[in-house]
Amino acid sequence: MIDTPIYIAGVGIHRFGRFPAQTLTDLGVHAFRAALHDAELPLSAIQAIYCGSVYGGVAAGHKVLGALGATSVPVVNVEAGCASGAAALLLGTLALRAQAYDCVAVLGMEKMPKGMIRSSFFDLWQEQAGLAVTPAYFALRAQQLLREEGLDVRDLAKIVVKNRANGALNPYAMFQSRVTEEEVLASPEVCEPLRLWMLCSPNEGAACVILARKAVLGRRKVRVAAITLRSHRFGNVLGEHTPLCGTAREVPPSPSELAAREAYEIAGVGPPELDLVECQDTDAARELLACRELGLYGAGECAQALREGWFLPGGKIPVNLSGGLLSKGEPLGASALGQVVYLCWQLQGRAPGGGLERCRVALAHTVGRGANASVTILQGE
Amino acid sequence: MTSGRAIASVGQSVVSVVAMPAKPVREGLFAASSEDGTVWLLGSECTKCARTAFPASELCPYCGSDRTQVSRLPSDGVVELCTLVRKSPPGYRGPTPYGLAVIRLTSDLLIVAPVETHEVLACGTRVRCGVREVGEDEEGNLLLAPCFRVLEVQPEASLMRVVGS
Ligand SMILES: [Zn+2]
Repeated sequence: MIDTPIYIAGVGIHRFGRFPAQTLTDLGVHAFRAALHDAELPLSAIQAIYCGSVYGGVAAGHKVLGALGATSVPVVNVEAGCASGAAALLLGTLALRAQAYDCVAVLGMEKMPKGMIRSSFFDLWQEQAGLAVTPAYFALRAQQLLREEGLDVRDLAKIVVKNRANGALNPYAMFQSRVTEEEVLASPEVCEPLRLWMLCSPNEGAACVILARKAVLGRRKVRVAAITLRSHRFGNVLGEHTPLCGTAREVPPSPSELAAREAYEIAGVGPPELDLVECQDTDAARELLACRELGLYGAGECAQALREGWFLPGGKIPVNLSGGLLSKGEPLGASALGQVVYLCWQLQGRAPGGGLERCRVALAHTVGRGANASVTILQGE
Repeated sequence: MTSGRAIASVGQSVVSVVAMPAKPVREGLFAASSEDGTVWLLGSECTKCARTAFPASELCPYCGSDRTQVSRLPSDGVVELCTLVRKSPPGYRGPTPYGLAVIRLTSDLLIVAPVETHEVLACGTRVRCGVREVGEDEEGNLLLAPCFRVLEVQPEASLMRVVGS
């Protein structure tokens, strides 16, 4: 198949945080208008809309278009857990690649309640049995990673310190303040080894990416080099599909590993070519696990990577320079596109809070319930 | 699947010790012996790929085959990983705190299950399957759910292998 390049024509974001005075539609409209403005395109140029949201309810994307000025174009609402925005991006990219349209908008938005969220993902009996306890699964996964990589809870605190320092420079983050290792360790214990500040906050926000088959503006072209979405295979007892059993041997590759392999193959790049990575830091350990799944370090190499500061700003491969979910919070439907917006800014040398000197290839990753995992690779031309 | 051993439904075995009718949070989740109170989680074995799944399911989640059989999983295992749940998660009305652990059953299957404990259990702690009361349903039935217990005494003889024997 001849690969049609797909370009990002414009991006827009509504800050992530909590906005009691604004409806979900308000958040979506804000991000959508910002993206149209950025792309210097009228709404009439948008031929289809793909909208990712998890808690958005009936026809969430349609309500945004209705508020912007109903143009009657197709609107598809997409849910794929933490990868919802990426799933919308995949659909938009495929539609352009199939030459069904010349220009589409991909929107992600969310408004989430505070605290431990009651999810329809668990059955009633699982809730009754005390099994619908999301942070405990994160904690078990964290323990496994600490054991496998020879790390301790201080290493997790350092991830929070790094991401919050990065987030302090990002005006679109929910938390824009630095924290110390001691403060992180002193925050309330949620589930051993995870402290409260090591977990990201579910929150609200929206992000929008306009895709086109032609890059029109004068600024640096950013191409969607790959967008992949995978679900799980059965067998990993700690997989994001939250099973109650798994195998001790022959654990299948994770959705993140599958999505990464596929994306590297499509884009024709590998970890050594990446200049910047935004990955799923739902909790501090999840970031380190994601880095391993993405091949940023080999199994057993994590302690060395941390000691040598590979993922710090200015390191071998900065991770979550935006502040990550630990600073931004996680509005499920919007978070994947929030990463894409930030990486696009970096690739075009216009990131708030300071850019990388050299950024040509950047990767975004999400993973969560389903299981769903996405990997997006953007390339500056 | 059923051996010569008498297997009563959990409801029957527990009715004698509690005042109200009791039932499992989900039918077919576990079975208990009316003789010695042994509790087994019920899984399914796939005759095509030979793998075991818990909870039991008609279709094998590994390979999709419909050739599966319900089987009793071993009651005993060791803790691989354990964390502590301090605050009741959504929809749960049982006691807190409790442990949530990855347990390696004697058949080598890994399962995730609650464990009765007030502290994080060390890797290698030996545990045995039991049940705990987790509140009532709307009809006033006492709800029972699987919960492992730490084995204080660990006589080798108690480590019966049920599945595959
Ligand atoms: Zn099978």
